[in-house]
Amino acid sequence: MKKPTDAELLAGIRRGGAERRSCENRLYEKYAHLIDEGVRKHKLSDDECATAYSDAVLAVFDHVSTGRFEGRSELSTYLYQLFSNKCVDAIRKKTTNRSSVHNAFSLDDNLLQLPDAARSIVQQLIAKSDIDRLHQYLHELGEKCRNMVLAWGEGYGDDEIAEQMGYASAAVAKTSRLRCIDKLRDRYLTRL
Amino acid sequence: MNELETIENYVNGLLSPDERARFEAELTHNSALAESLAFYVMTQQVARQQALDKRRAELAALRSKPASSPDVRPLWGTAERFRWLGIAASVVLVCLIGYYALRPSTDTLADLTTAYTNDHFGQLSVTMSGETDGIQQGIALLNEGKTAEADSLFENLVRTQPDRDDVLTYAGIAAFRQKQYDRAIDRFHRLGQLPGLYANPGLYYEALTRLRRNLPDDKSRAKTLLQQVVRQNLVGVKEAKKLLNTNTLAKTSADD
Repeated sequence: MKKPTDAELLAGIRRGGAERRSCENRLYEKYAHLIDEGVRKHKLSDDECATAYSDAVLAVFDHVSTGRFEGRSELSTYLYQLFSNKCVDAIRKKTTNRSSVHNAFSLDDNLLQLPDAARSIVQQLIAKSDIDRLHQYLHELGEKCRNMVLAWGEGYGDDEIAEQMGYASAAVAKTSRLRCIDKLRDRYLTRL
Repeated sequence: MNELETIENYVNGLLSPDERARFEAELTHNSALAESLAFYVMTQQVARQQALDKRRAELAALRSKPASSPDVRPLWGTAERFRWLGIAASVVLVCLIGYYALRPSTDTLADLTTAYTNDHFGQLSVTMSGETDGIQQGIALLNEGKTAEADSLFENLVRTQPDRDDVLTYAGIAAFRQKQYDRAIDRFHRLGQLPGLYANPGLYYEALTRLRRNLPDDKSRAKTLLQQVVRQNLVGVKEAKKLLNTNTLAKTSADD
């Protein structure tokens, strides 16, 4: 099969839907040789480098689909930089007890999207909440509900969720998704 | 609109300024609403985290790893040991044959180009051209090691007879031996463009010179030229195949 160009992969990820997933997988495979390079250069194990590479690629997917990657540098350069940072994180994690410096997915990011007025209130409530329990309940949610909530968490829009999960429209998918979140909330509040 | 939908619209900035102001006012004294908002944000984060974990596992599965067999029963001492040994020996034999048949050339690119240019651009046959003009004199100078003089002589010939294949060939060789690779590439390129020749080494010589000069895009352009030599069965086809089979060129992207 012909190797896709970076421009084709980026366009596919930005188009979203089922094509996004396929292009993401092909991007992962295209630059997977970085794992071996990381093993040689950073003296990390294959598994550690594979994890660093997955994290870097996932960050690229996120940056591309949200527009944070503007294409000012080559995709390969951008990915390489992220991967190097993840490797440095892994080395740091091994040699000290410090956790990730370049972690792109922290709760802070979610809080930052809130208007100032709401942020401090929510921050205090989250500090008192039981996130582990929420993780567990989300795991236990029915398969269809869970897949839908996870797709939303990954940044898929309701139109894409409708297309991939066979709902009649984005509005129907949105109603179902909010119902799933509601169900999860009921369970969480009941057992708290 | 139910509560979660209002919360989602607030988080996504989809409420009107009035609705937004009302929502924020209510947030300060309605603890249930504040808790629902906190729950929405947490759920989004937890869902994101789980989605990423799932995706990480899917990506890891894309990496093809040799399957490790959990079955560690000893082969020795069983009745089947000779059959297994036979199979193993056959596999090793097939792998060895495959390796020797398909392995990239272990000769390096530099070895091959140096060997060829030493053979073909070194001592030149004076009978290569039947002409009695300056060409024979130039060849004699090259053979005597007077490359600067030969180079100058062939450059004069190029100016007066720019479309003669032998003049371009020797002018290119003289420039090559003077390490004037830019000029050598130009002469061989012009030679390669001459129409109607029975045997034209221009493309192959240009490729060799580009490999020797080794500027940033020279390898890829040389690879393209060598592929053309092979496709069109031109002079140097055998050597071109060897060069294309070296590790260096096998990994280079052709400039086409």
